[in-house]
Amino acid sequence: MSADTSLLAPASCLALAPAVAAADPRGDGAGPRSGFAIEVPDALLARARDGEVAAFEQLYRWFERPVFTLALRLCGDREEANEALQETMLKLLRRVGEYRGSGPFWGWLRQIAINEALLRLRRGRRLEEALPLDCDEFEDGAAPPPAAADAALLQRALLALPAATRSVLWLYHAEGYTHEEIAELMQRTPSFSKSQLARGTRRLRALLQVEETSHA
Amino acid sequence: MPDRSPRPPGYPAPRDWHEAFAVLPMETPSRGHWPRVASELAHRRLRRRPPAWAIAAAVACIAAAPTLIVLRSAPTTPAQASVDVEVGMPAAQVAVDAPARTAQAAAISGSPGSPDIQQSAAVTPVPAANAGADIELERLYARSARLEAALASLPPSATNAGVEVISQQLVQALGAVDATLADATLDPRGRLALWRERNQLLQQMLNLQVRQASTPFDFAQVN
Repeated sequence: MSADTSLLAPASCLALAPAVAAADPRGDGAGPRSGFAIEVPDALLARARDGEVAAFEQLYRWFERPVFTLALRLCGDREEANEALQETMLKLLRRVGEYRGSGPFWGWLRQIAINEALLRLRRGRRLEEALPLDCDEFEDGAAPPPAAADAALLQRALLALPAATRSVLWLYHAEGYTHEEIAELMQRTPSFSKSQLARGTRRLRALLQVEETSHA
Repeated sequence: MPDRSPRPPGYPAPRDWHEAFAVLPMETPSRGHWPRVASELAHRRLRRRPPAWAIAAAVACIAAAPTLIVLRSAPTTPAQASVDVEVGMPAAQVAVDAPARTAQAAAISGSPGSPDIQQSAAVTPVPAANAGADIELERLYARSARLEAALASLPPSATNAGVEVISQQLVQALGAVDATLADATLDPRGRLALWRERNQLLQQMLNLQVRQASTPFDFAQVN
């Protein structure tokens, strides 16, 4: 059932949800963290579990923009991102009692948000849109071109990528997921994730260099 | 609308893709979803409400409390007497009057009062007006949930162009109210007024749909 795909049992949610350190892939604590990395006090969660409206409203206000931003980056469409946001928040309401506190709350909620966004891509058969696979899977470890510092150019280039490729890039680079985790989320193989990352990064670099030239 | 880029033009290239992605600005949804979530929450709370016999039993216990207190042995200190009297008072009044009575009890007994009483007074200074607004808001959330559930339960029906136009206008008006309600800085009075307006719009939508569906509908269930 589609609604249940984003409502994995708590154990599997937590297994997939990286801990706080996972949002910082360099592991030195100095790198930027996921926009989701908001620590939620246990007392607030307890009030939410009791059904207190004010506690839910607080959670909603804290996570509204991170959820919407993540959904928009994956879906590439504001209307779909709005739908994913609403459904994520309704599921938070219905399932908050299932969160057991073995990992960060934001990781649990992010898991729901990602599944909601991917569900929309899957429904529209857009998760099938990916760059063709080839054997040339070396990871592009070079620094991004200077144009990547321009948020507008970078967002435009990301939108030009196929949905599945863009999702792999975002989940890996911005959210800190591993290839195995991405494969499970997208119901594909780790090789698919590695290949899309390699090809997508090269395509992104090329798109940014074209933008840079045309804006020079 | 997206935020402005946090990096001005000419800023050095990011060191890696993680850094490039992580500093992209947060996006803001084009409409607020909190009213829909609050409505659902109210609906769930209604379903969780205890059965009537449990409420009746609780009321009977509360009503019997003052009698039980009178039957108890005389208090040993004036402060203790003051605390016992509070049991028979409405909760809101206790919350508002607690600091004054605590100070009074302390003056009578010559001590600064028990730590429990002081803590209670510090933690529960709930103004009666706010409590009333919260109760009213809860009532509006619950009615909104009932109206939305009723709308969802009605079968789809054929509509003419005129009804379709009115229906669209109501949907747009509801969207505008929801967008305003999404503003976290809205003052409590404005929030109450908007929730009332939201419920009126939902009621109009329900009236319209019931007329179109030509099926019997018990309006008492949404009031």
